[in-house]
Amino acid sequence: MLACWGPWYTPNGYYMYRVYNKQPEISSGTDSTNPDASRNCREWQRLTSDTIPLEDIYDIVYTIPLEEFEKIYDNRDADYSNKFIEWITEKDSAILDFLLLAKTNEYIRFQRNSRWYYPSMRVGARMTIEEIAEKALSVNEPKLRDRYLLQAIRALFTLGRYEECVELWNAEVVNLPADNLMRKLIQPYIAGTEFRLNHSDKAITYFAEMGDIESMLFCAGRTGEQISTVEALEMVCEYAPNSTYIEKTLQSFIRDIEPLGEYYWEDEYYFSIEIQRLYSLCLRMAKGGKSDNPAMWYYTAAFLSDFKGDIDEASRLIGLAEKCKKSDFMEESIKIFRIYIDAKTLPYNTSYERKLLTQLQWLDTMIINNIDEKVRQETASGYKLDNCESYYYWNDMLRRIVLAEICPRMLKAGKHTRALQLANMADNRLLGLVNKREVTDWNWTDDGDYYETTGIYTMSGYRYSQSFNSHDYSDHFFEMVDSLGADTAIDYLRSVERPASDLDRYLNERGYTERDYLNDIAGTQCLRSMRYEEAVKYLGAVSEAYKDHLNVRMEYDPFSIEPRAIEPHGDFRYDFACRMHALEQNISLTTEPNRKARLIMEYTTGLCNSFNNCWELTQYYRGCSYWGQVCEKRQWEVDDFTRAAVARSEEYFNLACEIATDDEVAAELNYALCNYKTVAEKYPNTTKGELVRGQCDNLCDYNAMPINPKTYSWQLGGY
Amino acid sequence: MKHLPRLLLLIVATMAMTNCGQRSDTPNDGVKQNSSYYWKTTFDISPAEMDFLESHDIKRLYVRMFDVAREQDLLSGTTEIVPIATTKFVSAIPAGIEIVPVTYITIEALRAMNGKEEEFATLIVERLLAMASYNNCGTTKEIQLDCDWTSSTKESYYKLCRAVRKELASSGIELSITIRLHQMQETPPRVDRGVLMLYNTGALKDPSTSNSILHIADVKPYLRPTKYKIPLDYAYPAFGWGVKFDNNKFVAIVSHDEHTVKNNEYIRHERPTAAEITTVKELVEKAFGKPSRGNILYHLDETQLKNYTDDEINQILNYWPIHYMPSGQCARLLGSMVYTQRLLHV
Repeated sequence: MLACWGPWYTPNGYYMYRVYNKQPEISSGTDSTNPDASRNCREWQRLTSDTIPLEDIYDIVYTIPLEEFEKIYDNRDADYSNKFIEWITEKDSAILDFLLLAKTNEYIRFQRNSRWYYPSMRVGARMTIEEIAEKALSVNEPKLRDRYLLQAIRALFTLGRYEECVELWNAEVVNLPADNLMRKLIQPYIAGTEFRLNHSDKAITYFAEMGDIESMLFCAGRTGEQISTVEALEMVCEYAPNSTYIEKTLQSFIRDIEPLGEYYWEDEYYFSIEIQRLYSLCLRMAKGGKSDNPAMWYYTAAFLSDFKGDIDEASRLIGLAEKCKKSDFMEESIKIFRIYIDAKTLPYNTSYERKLLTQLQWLDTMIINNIDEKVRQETASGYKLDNCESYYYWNDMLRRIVLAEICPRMLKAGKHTRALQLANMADNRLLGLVNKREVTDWNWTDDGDYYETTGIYTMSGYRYSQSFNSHDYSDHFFEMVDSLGADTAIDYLRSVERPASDLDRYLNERGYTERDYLNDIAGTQCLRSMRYEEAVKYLGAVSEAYKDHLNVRMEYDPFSIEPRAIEPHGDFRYDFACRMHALEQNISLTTEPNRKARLIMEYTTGLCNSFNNCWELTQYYRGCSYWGQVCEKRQWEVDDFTRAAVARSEEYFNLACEIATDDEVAAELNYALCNYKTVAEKYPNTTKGELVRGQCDNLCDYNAMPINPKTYSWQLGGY
Repeated sequence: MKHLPRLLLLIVATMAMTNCGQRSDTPNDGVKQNSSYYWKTTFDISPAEMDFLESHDIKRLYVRMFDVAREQDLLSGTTEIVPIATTKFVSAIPAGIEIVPVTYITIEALRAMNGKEEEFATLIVERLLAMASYNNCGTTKEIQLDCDWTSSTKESYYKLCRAVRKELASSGIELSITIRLHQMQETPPRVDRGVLMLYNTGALKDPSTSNSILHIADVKPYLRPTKYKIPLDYAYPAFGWGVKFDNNKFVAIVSHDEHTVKNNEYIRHERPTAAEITTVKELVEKAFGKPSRGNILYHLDETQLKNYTDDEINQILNYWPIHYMPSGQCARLLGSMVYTQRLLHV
């Protein structure tokens, strides 16, 4: 039985590099491959009504052909199911007129783009392209002026009236806001126009601003050349050092190499050259004075230095980035990188802890302030959080820095409690804020089909429900606390109960510190350490309400030599701890040798089974699919706890064998050891002797298992 | 001898009365005209070519406007049928010259058109007429399709011709086609007229060919007296070239003036002589009759035409043998005879 599953990614796989401050356009109901179309539809929505679905707008603006639109234009009084058409035919004929002109323009331009087209060929439209250009410039409709400008420039470009295109650009289009969609759509025509007017440099600059590398190469007479991403960046930087293409491309390039810094060996050479080239470009751009964003270039150079393993240089460069003038967006990215670099370079002393508290407080504020519905939804579904997939930058960064950098260093420095506190915050802060968990169950019908049901819980409800807990027993905090031993678990529990510093309190408040959860872990750790008295104490502190929520259940009797199924019940760890503790006390108090031998045999049987077929007593999961992320991968059969348990069981069995004087007891012990021959020969008249003699027919049966007192006890209950 | 002037006068008078002895059964009855092809990607007539048109009374030019071919679209990767090598008009159309727009359809394009002939007929007609109109080619009376169709592509070509003719029906523009010698064995498509190409008659790439442009031996097998179903004119070559081979393997067509060869290479220089052409002309006319409207030169290019004398060109183009002249020529000849007679009287 596998109690937990492991994440696919490690925390250092989170994307940290961040320079591009644009959210992708939402393409709901429109064309996901054309972000401009989505934006345009939303702008049409703003010009008309928020109640008009984007799909309706997209359908009219992008899908229906001219011929069909002309019919609508001619039959305005008809009833239309499309809300956009309904609006523009009834309430805004200016838009109707505009769309007819735009569609006619596109139709003619399409016809003219056909290889079959020759000037003076009939194209079957109501207007000529010349008339379109003229009308687009003459319509006095302020709200549609930018749109008419686009249509005019398209028509003029098609007619080869390039000077007029440039005049319109200079006179009107440049006065539109920089992020105006029509301006963005007009710019390629102006670039093309400048090229046709033999102003190649101007054309290249426009194309560089748009990040149109192929057109840049074409204008430079380098058509067909294959250039790398970094070469393209160099070219754009030369002509348009502040093009948004740069940040977009930097982010996509670095994100390609960022996760884990691992790639296939054949890519390594390529990337090493490219990274070096990019690094040089970063320094040139940072110092060159042409870029409005030198902080971005220093930040990128620092990032690449860290990528190459030169942390000191990374620290120096991020220091330079911090000194540059920058946007709030860049400042935040740089702050994150500073926290990361500090975590990697500063000594872990009180001074660092003070700084860390400040840094965590800032990061926590960012987490709180930037949560949106998408983040809430993704967190509630749990999948990405549990699998360390990037989805919410601020929480990702908390996790990446804390889990991948600070915790391993803290553990190495012996600061286990601090590492656990930090890991707990990293794993549970966002969950605590969202406080929602979606659980999908598959239910089977009588016919053998299945259907899904989804339940939504608060985190507390989820943790105390009957649902399998996929988070608390597979997160990084759990991985650490489950593998660092009982003392660490108990120390952590104490730090939760009695915080000693501001940082303790701060971290505890942001982690999941429910006592049932922590006591159960501490108690289980005690069972694994054979500290049964303490196990009784901690497991005994777990509330009745929590006893059924451990994700694992025990199905066999831990005190039976042979596997014997029992009815699973919730308090199995506490019951086991009580009985083992009682046995320990009874063994020490009992003096009669045969009684004592029987008690020892029962104790040893329980001990062996608690690490074998009743492993649920000492573990929360078993198997190898749980990846070691912060700690080493678990090797259940050979870890220190298991070795200690083996040693104690051997010692106790030997002792039992030595002190037993009664034949019945000796026979039972030897029977447990599978020494059937001894049982048959030395204790033929005991219960076990009669059993062996009556049922073993062949010689080999008398030697069913090789007897090795050093290992035999480990085979108890095994199968 | 004293009856000679009277005899000549009688002959001339008879010729004049019988319209030089020819009865035409063509739609353009009486329009006997010298013509030439213009087969370049740039229409740019030189002064020498202008003089040539004038001195040889050439009033009709068959101008190649574009080829129709199959090409791969670089963006979509799909293959499409498109016009290529569209002729660029640099010089104006000479005054008084009728232009017949021509398009050459590759066999690959024709194959690909199968089932879509009507669609492409529209495109071809629209584009030819648009080009003619845009470049001030005057009133278009005829357009021409040029295609090396075979029996396997015949059906598609015939459909295309039918569709093109339908497109042209309302405008009164005629459709003509080129006809290669081997196509004479087939029933022609329903078009208004044809031009029999009397050039490129041999196997160009065959090293054993002596002259791929025109060789009497290549033509003769096709010259069985036939009454072809559409009126025919004849196009004769007035050009030459070199065919380069390497180890008897065809390499390229080169200029007739090219003589540089590497090891194992040789150039077969080809240029039919006027005598060869006129011989073929006599044989063709004997087999298929006189051209319905006149003879056509292939093609108007001063660099090629300079290799022929004016007399040779006249011999090729002349519709009339020396004893048959059109009325104007008859009059001129008559005048010359009267003058001769007067001389004789003297």
